[in-house]
Amino acid sequence: MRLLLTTLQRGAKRSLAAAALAAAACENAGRGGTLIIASGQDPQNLFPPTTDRVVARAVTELLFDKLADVGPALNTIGAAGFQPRLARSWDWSRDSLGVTFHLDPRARWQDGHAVRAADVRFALDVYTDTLVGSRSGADLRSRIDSISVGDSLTCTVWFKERTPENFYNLVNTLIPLPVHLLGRTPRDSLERSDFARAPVGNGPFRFVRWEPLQRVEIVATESFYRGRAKLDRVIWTIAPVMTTLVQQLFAGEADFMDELPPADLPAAAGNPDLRIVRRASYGYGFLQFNLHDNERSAAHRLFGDRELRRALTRALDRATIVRSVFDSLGVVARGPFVRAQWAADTTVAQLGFDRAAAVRTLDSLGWRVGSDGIRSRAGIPLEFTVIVSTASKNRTRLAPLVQEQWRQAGIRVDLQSLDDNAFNERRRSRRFDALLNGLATTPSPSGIRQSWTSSGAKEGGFNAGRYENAVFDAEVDSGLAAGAPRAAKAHFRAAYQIIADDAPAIFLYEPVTVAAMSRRLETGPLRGDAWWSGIPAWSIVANERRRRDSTFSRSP
Amino acid sequence: MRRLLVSRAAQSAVVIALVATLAFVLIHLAPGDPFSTSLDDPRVGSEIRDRQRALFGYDRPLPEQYVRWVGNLARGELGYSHTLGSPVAEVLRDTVPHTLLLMGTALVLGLIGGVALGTWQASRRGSVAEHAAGAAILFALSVPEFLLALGALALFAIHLRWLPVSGMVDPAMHDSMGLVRRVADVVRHLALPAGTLALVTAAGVSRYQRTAVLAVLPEDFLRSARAKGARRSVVLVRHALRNALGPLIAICGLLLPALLGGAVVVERIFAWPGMGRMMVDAVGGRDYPLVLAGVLAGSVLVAVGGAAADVLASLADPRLRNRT
Repeated sequence: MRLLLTTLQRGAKRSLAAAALAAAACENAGRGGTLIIASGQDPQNLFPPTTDRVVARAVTELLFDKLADVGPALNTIGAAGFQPRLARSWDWSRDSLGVTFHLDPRARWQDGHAVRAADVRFALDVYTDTLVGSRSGADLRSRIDSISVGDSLTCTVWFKERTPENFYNLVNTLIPLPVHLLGRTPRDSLERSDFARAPVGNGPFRFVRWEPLQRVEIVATESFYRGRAKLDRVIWTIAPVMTTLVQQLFAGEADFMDELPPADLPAAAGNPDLRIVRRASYGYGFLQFNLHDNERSAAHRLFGDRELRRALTRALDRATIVRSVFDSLGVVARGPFVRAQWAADTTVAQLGFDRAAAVRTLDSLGWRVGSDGIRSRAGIPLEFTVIVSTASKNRTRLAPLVQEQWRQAGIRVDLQSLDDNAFNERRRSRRFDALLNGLATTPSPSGIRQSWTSSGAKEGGFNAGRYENAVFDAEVDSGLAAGAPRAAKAHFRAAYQIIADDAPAIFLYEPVTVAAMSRRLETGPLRGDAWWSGIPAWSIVANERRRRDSTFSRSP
Repeated sequence: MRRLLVSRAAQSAVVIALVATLAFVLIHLAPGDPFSTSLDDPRVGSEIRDRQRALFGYDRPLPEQYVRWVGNLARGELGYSHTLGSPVAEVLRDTVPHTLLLMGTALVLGLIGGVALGTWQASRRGSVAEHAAGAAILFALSVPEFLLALGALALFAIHLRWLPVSGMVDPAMHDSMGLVRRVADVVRHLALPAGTLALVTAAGVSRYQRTAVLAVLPEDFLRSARAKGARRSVVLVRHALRNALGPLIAICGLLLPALLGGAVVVERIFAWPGMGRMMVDAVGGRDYPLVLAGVLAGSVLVAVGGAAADVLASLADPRLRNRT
């Protein structure tokens, strides 16, 4: 009997052990592995308020949790669709000027301290302190009045005015910082502090090392309060030459590249070990006219004339240019927006390609073709300079096509390729006739204010061509202030139509971005504005693992 | 010898000071500054850029900045790298040894290969093999380094997969390796960049060596050695080669700047984390402190190398000592 009992007990214990192992195996299924990302740049620093490079944003946003994250729909109006992160929930004040966040009590900094409401308030102090030099400090200063702390897990953010994108701008920009680690560091040296090179975060990954010019390594936080990431670690290998990055991917030394050069697309598509994924693009390129003459403090001798700008726009066959440069990896831009933004409107009437109409307009304006094939008026030839930065291969390739098409309409263009610093200097000082440039945007259309309205036309602003139209400004402001998406879209559509008609710039292209990755990598959809956001859920296919996937020692 | 050393040290100090001053002026005259690109963001107002410039003193007149830089340099303060987010001294501490490893390996391999090839060519003068070798050397010298590097990358890393594409170590495995495997890992990563540089160095050296050996071969003492019945290889290696090495030592001093220039290209293509690659990034980002420290380190390296070559040459040939 005793023997039977013992045998049964042993059997039960074994069954329990087996069940526990099976449960653990289920929980760990898909876990493990090392993701290697090919990166062209070092992060510069890993201090969230001052990061600007893509690699730095990717690393810091995996090390630090936000209060909430924009959902897959990338809705930036109100708080609908936003997913809880550090904040388990939030509720609005009656007047919609305050939002109270309730922090997750399980959230911990990676040194063991609990994440507290004071960390959120401290972060706002840091971001908005001009001594810190945060890229988004001015925007936060203009929007947020203060943050009040209720208890250790509750804080209320008070906005200066009601705008539909307040919530998006807040949670997308402000990353809580550990006051217990940074509270005593002088603000003007935060960017150069040890923390900026080896940060202590509260996110799904923790920092291991950053060896400049070589690699950045982060590993999964084992006890992460929202659940451990599937991957064990993520490594960015840094190589400055695009060819080298691509070859790392082809040789299997890297698993992922966020932006494959179009020239390498056929080889990548034909490589059985790789797959390519299109992702939404948040950039557009344009040719901008300088509407003012810096030296004479008057309207530009050519581009002060709206009709001339419109004729120049009509003389360009943008579809052919875009096809020649991008093949199928680019589309013609329809205005100062990208198609992935909610406010985009591709039905805006365009000044389409019509060389005959352009020629008629130029003739009517008095620009007559001379014996050399170039138009002139009162002895002054229709010629100007277009500057382009050598940092952009696409725009460098595109420039001669623009030049040739305008030559066919009797317009002489002198192209000047400049080093990126020289280009930016000329743009900022407004010493140019026209320039070829590109802008990176976000899911929010709010960037249009700095780039195209009168507020950006002031000295130091990004509206380098100094396009100013009060009606356009009003429509943009109304669009950004409208609470309902439909009303906002109507205002933006009106604004886009005005700028298309005024032609202060020729909106040329929106590139289609293609990421390339190893087939052993399982990812969800890649978010257009932040492809790295899903990395905690990425995994390496179990039967495709390599030695590097198991060569990893866990630590807490 | 002491006089020679003092004289070379004084010359080197003047040259380094001039080079550093010139670099200071040129980098500051170039358009942009460390914050013109890194803070080129529609969200960043000019007040932020201005404040950052003031924080580092870039808003001060150029002579004042120069005096301040020299003063800091005298105190051993090299400043802060804006592009790499680290003190410049730390960046140099990390990158200079990597470049020395790359250049040193390339120099040794290049010298051994070049001397052997040049000597062999001289001994086979006029033969088909010598002509073929001459053509191959000319090819290696004519092809730009970046093309050689890309060719080596395509063949050995992509097609044959014998060697890694880039970097200095395996980013995922290196830290878990034992000492021997770590060394082997670095050697594997070093092979392509050092091999590329060594090939170009060997090609150049072999031409000098061939000419030097050809100049020595008709000498009386070699005829005497042959007449005494010494084997051809003994005559060539023990007598001809030794006497032809003098000019080569002097050339080593000239090889250093060329190697440093080559390292800029090779380090970028193979993502070798050295000074050359760092400098290109620093110049692009107008990282004044890093550019100036890099120029200083490079010029010290070249000056010390040149002086060492002079000293070695004078040790090898006593006649040179009397000329200085």
